[in-house]
Amino acid sequence: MATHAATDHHHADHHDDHDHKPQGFMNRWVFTTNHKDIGTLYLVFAFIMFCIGGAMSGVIRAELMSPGLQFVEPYFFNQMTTVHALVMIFGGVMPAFVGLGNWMIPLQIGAPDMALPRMNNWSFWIMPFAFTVLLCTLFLPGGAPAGGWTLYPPLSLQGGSSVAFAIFAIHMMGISSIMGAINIIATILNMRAPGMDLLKMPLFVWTWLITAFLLIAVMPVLAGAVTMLLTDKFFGTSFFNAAGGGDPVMFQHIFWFFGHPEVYIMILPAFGVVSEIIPTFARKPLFGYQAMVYATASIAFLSFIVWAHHMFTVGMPLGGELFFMYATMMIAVPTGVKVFNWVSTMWKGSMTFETPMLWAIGFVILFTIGGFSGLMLAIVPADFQYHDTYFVVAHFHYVLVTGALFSIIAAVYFWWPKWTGKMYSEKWGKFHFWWTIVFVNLLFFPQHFLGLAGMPRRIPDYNVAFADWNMVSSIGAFGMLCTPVFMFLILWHSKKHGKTATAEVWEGAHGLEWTVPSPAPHHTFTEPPVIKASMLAHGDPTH
Amino acid sequence: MNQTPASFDPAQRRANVRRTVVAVVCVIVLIYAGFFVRAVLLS
Amino acid sequence: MKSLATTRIGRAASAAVLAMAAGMVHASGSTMPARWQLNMGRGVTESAHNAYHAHMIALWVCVVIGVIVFGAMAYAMFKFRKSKGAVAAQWSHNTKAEVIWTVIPILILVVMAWPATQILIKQADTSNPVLTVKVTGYQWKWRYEYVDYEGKPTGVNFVSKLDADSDKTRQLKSGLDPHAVKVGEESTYLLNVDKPLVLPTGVKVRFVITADDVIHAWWVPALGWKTDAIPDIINDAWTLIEQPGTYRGQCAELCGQDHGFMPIVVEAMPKALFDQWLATQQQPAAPNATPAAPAVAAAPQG
Repeated sequence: MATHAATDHHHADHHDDHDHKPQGFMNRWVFTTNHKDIGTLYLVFAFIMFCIGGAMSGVIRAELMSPGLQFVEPYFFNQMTTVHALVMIFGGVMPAFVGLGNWMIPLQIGAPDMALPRMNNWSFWIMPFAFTVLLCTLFLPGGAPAGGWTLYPPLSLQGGSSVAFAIFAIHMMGISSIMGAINIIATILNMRAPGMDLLKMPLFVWTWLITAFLLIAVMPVLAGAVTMLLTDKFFGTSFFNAAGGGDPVMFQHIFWFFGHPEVYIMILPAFGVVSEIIPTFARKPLFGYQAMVYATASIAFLSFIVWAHHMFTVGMPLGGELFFMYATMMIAVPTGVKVFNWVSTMWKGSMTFETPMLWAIGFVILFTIGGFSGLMLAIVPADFQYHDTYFVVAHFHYVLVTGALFSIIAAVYFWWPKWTGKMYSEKWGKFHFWWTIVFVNLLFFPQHFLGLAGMPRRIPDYNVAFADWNMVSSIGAFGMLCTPVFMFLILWHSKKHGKTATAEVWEGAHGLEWTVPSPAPHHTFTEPPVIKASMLAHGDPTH
Repeated sequence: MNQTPASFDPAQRRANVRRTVVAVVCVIVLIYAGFFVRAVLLS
Repeated sequence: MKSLATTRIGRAASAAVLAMAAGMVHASGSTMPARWQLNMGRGVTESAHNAYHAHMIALWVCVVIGVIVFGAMAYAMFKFRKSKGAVAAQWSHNTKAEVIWTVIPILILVVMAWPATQILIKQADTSNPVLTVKVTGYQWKWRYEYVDYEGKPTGVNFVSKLDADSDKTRQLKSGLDPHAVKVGEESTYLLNVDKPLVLPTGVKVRFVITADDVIHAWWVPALGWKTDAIPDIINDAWTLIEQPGTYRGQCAELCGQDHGFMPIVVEAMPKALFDQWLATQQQPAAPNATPAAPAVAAAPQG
C-alpha cells in the first residue's frame, strides 16, 4: 500500500484497502486537503478546547462552591469567566460543528471533497494559532481579558495588552469562520451529485447551508466592532467613548447584531444533527421535512431582528423594547414547529435507544427547557428582574451545553462507526449519557433558582442565602468534569478493540453516507454516485 | 439559487464554484465597506 | 466647633430615625433572599408585582406546554418501541396538525404579550415624581444625590459602599466566616453598605441613573427592575415603595474586579420620618460636606 500511494490518484476505481492516504505525519495532517482529515483535525481541536474551557469552569465552580473567597482573586475569576466563554464558543462549539460539516457534508451530498480543499486546510490551521494567542494572554502581565466575553467598553478597554491580543485572536477566528462558511456554501451549491436537489438534501446539510450564510453575514460585523475597540484603545478614537462624541451603547448594538445570529450559528447545525438521528432510530421518515427547512430559514431571518433583547435594561425607548419583545417571542413559533416535528417523527415509529438516540432525545427535552426560559426572558417586565442574573446563565447553558454540546456528542456517536469502522461500547456509551444527564441538571437547573432569588451573574462571591444551591451546582460541575475523560476512553477503546462496523451501521440508516464502506475510504464519490430512492432520507430522486 | 443538481463537467463545476465564491465574497466586502463608511467616513 | 456640635446632634437624630425605621423592618418582614429559595420574590412595588405576575404567567404557559410535549414524547417512547413489536408507520406529513401547531403558539404568544405590553407602558412613565434621586455608579461604589424633593433642591448627597464587616470577610483566604456577618437576625454578607439610600414610602421616586467610569446596573430585586448605569448617558426609572423596610440589591452589570462587592441598600420609611431624616442630613451637610456615615452604619444594628 505504501509503495503506490499518491501515484494513481486520478483513476477512479477504488478498493477499500487501497485508499491513498498521504504518508507521514506532515503530509497526512499538516498539508492535508482531504475533507475527512480536516474534519478530524477540527474535532480533535474542539475536544482539546472543550477540555481547556471545562477546566476554567472548574475553577469558577470551585470558587463558587461556598461563600467567601477560597481559591482565586476576583480579577482572576473574571478572567476565567471571560476566557471560558470565548474558548467554549469559538474554540469548542463552532469548530466541532465545522468538523462535523467537513466530514459529513461531502459524504451526504455525494461530493468527492469540499469545493475549496486548500482553503479548507488554511481555515483549520488558523485556529490553533488564534487560540494560542488568546490563551497566552493568561500569562501576560495584567492577565487575560477580564471584561466578559461580550467585551463591553469602557470596561473591556481597561485591560492591558491583552486587549490587543484578544482582538487579534478574534480577527483570526473570524477569518477562519468566514473562509469555512464560503467553502461550505460553494460545496453545497455546486458539488451535489446528480439527483440531489436542494429539497432532497439531508437536514444537516440544509442547516449548515443556512448557518454558513449567517456566518458570512455577521463575522464581519464582529470584526468591525472589535476593530473599533482596538482603535479606541490604542489610536485615540472615540467610537464608544461618550466624552469624545461616541456611544458605549452603540457597541452593544453592534456586538449583539453579531451575537444573536451567533447563537443560532451554534444551534442550527445541532437541529440538523438531531433531525438525522431521530428518524434513523425511529425507523420512520422525518416528519415535515419541508417545514423543518422553512423553520430553519425563518429562525435565521428572525435572528437578525432580535438582537436588542440582550439589552432590555440599557434604557431603550418604549417602542424599541416592544419591538424586540414581539420579535423575540416570534422565534418560539418556528422553534416550536421543530420540536413538534421531532416528537411526531417518534410517534408511531419503531424506536430503539442506542447511545446517539439517547443523546438526541436528551437534546430535545433539555433544549426545549432552555427554549422555555428563553421565552420567559423575552417578556420585558420579567426580564427587568432576570437580566444579568444566574437565570440567564442557566438559560444559555441549557441551550449551549444540553443543546449544542449534546448534539455534537450525539453526532460523534452516530457517525463514529462510519469514520473509524469500529463500533463503540453501547454499555459505556449509555453510561456516559446517564452520568451526564444527572450531573448536567444538577449543575444548571439550580442556577434558575439562584437567578430568581436574586444572584447576579459574573460574581465570585455571594450572600450565604445563595450557598446551598451553589453547592449543588458545583457538585454537578465536578461530575461533569469527568465526562470528557469517559468519552475519550470510550472512543479510544472503540478504536483499539471495537467490533467492526457494517457499511450501513444502523438498521434504520438512510442517506448517501451509509452507502460507502465503514470506515469511509480516504476518497469517496470520486465518480458521482447514482442515487437510488432508498438511499435518500427525504424524497426520492425521480420526482 | 439553482434547483438543478450540479453539472459533472469538471470545468463547468470549477466555473460554478468560482461564481459562488465571487458572489459570497462580494457580500462580505459590502458588509465591511458598510462598516468602513460608518466608522471612518461618517464619524 | 459649632459645626462639630451640630454634626453630633445630627448624627444622634439620624440614628434615632433610622433605629425607628429598623424596628419597622422587622414588623414588615424581610425581602432578603432565602436559603433554598426557588422562585422570584413578590417585591414591594407595583413594578415588582407586575414582574412577578409576568414571570408566573410565562412560567405556567411553559409548564403546560412542557407537560403536553414531554408527555407525548414519553408516551411515544414507551409505546412505539421496537422491542414491543412496534412497526414504523411511513407517513411524514399532516398538514392539519402542522397548521394547528403553528397557529396555537401564535395565539398563546399574543395572550402573553398583551399584559406585558400594558405593564411596560406603565413602567415607562417617569413623570410627576415627588423625589428625584441621581444614582451614579463608580468602581466600586454608588453615589446618591437627592436632586429634588417636593420641587426644591436638597443638597444631600453621599457615597454608599460595602460595609466594613463584609469587606474584611470577603478578602481572599480571610479565614472569617461569611455566616457571621449579620445585622440582627439577617445574614447580610455582601448585601450591606456603610450608608443606605433612604427613601420615603408611598410617593413616586424618580431615579436618574448614570456612571462615572464603566457600565454598572442598579438593581434592588424588591423594587422590581434594574437599569444600566452608563457613563455620560442618563437613564431614568421610577418606583413607588408600598411598605417600609430594608431592601437589598447588587450591581448587576460586570464592572471589574469588585463587581460582586458593590451592594445597594434601600431604607424605605414613611414620609414623615423621611422628612426628619432629610432634615438631619441637610444640617451638617451645609457647613461641611462630610456625611454622617458612622452613625448610620451603626443604626441598622439597633
